[in-house]
Amino acid sequence: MVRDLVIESTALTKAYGPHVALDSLDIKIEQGSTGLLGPNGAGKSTFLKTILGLIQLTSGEGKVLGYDIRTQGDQIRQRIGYMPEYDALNPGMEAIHQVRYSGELIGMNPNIALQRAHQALEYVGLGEQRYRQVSTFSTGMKQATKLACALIHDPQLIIADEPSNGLDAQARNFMLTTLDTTVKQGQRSVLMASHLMDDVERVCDNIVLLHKGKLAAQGKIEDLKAIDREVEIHVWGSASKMEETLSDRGMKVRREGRVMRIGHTGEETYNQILEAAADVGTQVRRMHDHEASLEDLFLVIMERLGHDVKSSDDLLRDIV
Amino acid sequence: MMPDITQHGTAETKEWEPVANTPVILFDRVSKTYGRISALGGVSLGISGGVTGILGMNGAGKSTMFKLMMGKIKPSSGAIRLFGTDPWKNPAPYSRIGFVPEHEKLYDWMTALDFVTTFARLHGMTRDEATKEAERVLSFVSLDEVMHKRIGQFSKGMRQRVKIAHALVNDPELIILDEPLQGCDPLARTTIMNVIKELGAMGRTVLVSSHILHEIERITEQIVILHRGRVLALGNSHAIREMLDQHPHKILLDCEKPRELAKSIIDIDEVTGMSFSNPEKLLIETKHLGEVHQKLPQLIIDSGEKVTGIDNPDDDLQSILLYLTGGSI
Amino acid sequence: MTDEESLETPFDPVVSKEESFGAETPVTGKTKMQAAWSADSDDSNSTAQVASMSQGQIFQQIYQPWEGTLNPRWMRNWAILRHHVLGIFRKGHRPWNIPTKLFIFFVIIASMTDVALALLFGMIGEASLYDIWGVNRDNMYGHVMGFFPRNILYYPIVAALLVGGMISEDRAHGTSAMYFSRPINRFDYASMKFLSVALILFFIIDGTLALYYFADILVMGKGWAWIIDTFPMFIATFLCGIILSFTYTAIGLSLSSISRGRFFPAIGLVAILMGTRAMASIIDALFDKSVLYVISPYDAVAHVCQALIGTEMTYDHPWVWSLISVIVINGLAIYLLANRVSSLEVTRE
Repeated sequence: MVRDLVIESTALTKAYGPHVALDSLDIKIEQGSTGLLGPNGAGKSTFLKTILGLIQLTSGEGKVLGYDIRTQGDQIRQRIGYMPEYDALNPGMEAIHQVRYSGELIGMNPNIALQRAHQALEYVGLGEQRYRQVSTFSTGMKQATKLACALIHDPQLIIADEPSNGLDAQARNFMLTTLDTTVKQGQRSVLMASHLMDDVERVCDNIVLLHKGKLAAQGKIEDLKAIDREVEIHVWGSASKMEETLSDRGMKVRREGRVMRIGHTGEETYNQILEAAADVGTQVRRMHDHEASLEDLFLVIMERLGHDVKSSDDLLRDIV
Repeated sequence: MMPDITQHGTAETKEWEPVANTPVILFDRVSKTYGRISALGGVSLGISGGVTGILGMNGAGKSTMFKLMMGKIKPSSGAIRLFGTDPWKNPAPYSRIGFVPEHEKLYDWMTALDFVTTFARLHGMTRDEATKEAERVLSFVSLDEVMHKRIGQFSKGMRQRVKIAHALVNDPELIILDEPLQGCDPLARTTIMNVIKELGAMGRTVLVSSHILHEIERITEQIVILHRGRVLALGNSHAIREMLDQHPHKILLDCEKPRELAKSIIDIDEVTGMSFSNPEKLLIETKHLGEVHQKLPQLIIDSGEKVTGIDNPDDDLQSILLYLTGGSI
Repeated sequence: MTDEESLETPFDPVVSKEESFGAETPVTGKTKMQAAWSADSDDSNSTAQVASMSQGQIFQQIYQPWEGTLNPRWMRNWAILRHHVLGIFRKGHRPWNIPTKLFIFFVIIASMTDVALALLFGMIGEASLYDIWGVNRDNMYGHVMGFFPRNILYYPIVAALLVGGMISEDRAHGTSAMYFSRPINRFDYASMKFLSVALILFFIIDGTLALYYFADILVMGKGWAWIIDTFPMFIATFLCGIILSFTYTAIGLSLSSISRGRFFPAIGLVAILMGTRAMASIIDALFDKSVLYVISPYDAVAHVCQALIGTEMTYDHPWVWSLISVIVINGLAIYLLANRVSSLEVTRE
């Protein structure tokens, strides 16, 4: 069952003179939650600007919610909500009025906008604070207010740029939960640009990875993780012998002290491990499928793209 | 990156056997009392090389231990040796130690590079040497991109890394970190954990104190548990668990047909109990963890049942602490 | 957690209480039965109910969809206009700062000195003084274009205060993202901002003018003949007020669009108005040539207004040149404004 595409682009290109910011992107983003990832300079912001219809494409086609980016920008912007990364609120206004105004700007009647503003602020957890001035808000509350502004008109697609930027653990947790609820309960789509893998892993089912303006990876996180499935074991006694035996049996093994990761080659992998353990006489204290984290995933992807990265930290910096 | 410590922490060892001739830190029956209050009572331990986690709630004696270690206070009884010398009123070892305290005011108006360079110069380096050294340590903690920015603009995680960097100037042999991960964002947390592990792999002695157990678990298996001024346990955390036999050990197996598998497992003498609360899991209880695990692989193969997961559910620091303190943390 | 051998239990071990009956006590079946209440016969099953713990959630996050319709473009623009204009005197809209609001209030009052004095002298019957202050061609011109104090203090400074943060604040606060991520195009954005400043100025200048005119009619009971006579003048002056509001707004807003702060546009506006005038008057004094007055926005507008209203011309050069100057000045200002707004950054890297 092919799900509706909320964003799709064909050979989307944006060049600033000789510098190509977006290079022929064929992107398909489905309904649901998608993470937009990539190091600085990869083209994330440029891509978002094209989606929002704020910059002209050099060439290629793009559609958001079925509407053409070039010609139907207004329709697009009526149906999406944008939560920018940086400050985007008037500090001298109260939260409730700020959100109400943002609803009026999209065309809501003032009294309906006010009603929805109350609901939206309640939803993002600012029910008690909605009459306070934005200047008195903490970073977490400001982020929540921005989200409320984006949600006031119940858009089909919410674009959140680094939503947990500068938030403490509690606020971050709540923000991610809110986004998750919006996707699962509200059945809306969220495109979340972030450099925090943990956040993306928590909220998103799909990812789009950009690198130097090109599309490096795209798809369901689940499917992408299947690229490199491993079984992790913790042994007690004779670890090096165990490693030897496993490689002798033709298995791909990586070892760090007592912890080993063995390439998953099918259902019989587990038995092979246990047989090796019985042979060597080592105790397998722990054995389970290793859930590759998104970080691990990226290291694999970048390796395949031919870049020498030691950690996802490198990934998020400029790779030469 | 974790040192292979398979052979340590067997059931018989009670005290820490020093690996080298002299442990970096040595406590010999150390006590410290403040009037009626006993902050530390009869603590004996030796720490040398690798990463050691110091666990304990507030008031357990961690800060007292650090102060004694650094020679800031004198023990009421017992002896302390740091690099083989008594640290009390003896600043000599300080150049070999890097200390990252929990609370420290950083100079917000300085750039990270300036800050670390200043501290480097306090070690007696020339300006050029100090700058080079500062650049080295800042890049070790992955702050090379932002070293020219003011500390006031840094996030909590970045500030923590600056603190760690300045303690690493002059390549100390002993690094002590007090609650290094507090308030850090996930990226900073991973970076700091990697830095700590790497220092351990490089052969330095690293002490990390924290009350957040699952973070320590990810960093090291070598731990010291303090509770009400006494050492409850020290050594490899799994070995510690094994020693707590008044709490039966648990082995959890993921399998399709647990009851079928049970028919084979029941033949192991050391197994004292089995339960099937989950239709796809078999829980085994035993007082002899090692023996059961030794026999388990062959038994599973012989039974012909498919097992896809093995786990020791209560072999984590949380459970260990709970068992040791009887729940009265 | 199984803990069979807990070392410390908070409770004393239970000691069984056995009633000891002496051997001599006859078994009469009359000893008290210490059975618990409701320990009835086992015929019916004892039942119980345990109240399920209510979650006690104070906060429940429920997503509420919205099915309403969105209004068209003009309604969105109207929202922008309302936001800026209503903010002067109502809460919940654009927050103007207190000095600005106070100064506007002061200017409104101060602009009505001619109204007050006209009515005062008219009502107490001082004919000669009334003639000085009452509605006539020159006085109406003076109400709008009088140099001191109106156009050296009141109107330019109000204009300056109004345009102060108009566009620069959206850049400083980042709220331009709020406009442009919605279906608002830059033309509408700039026009509505422009209109809101112009409207406020317009209300101050022409509002008080209308008050002046109509108060005189009503209070002094002018007849229809007088009204027909003076109405064209009134309309002409009204139009001049519009041109003046427009020009000050145009210059001020274009300055606001090129700076990030609030003070530069304000100071810039006053500087341009005063500076050009000063320079032109120096040239005039030295060389007796009034033509340089065309570069002074105030004088250009004043000249055009003089022509429109029909008061005495105080400049030597033809008024068409001043008209052209007004058009050019406004054109340049609007061009600059449009240019800057169209390249306004919405998302930062």
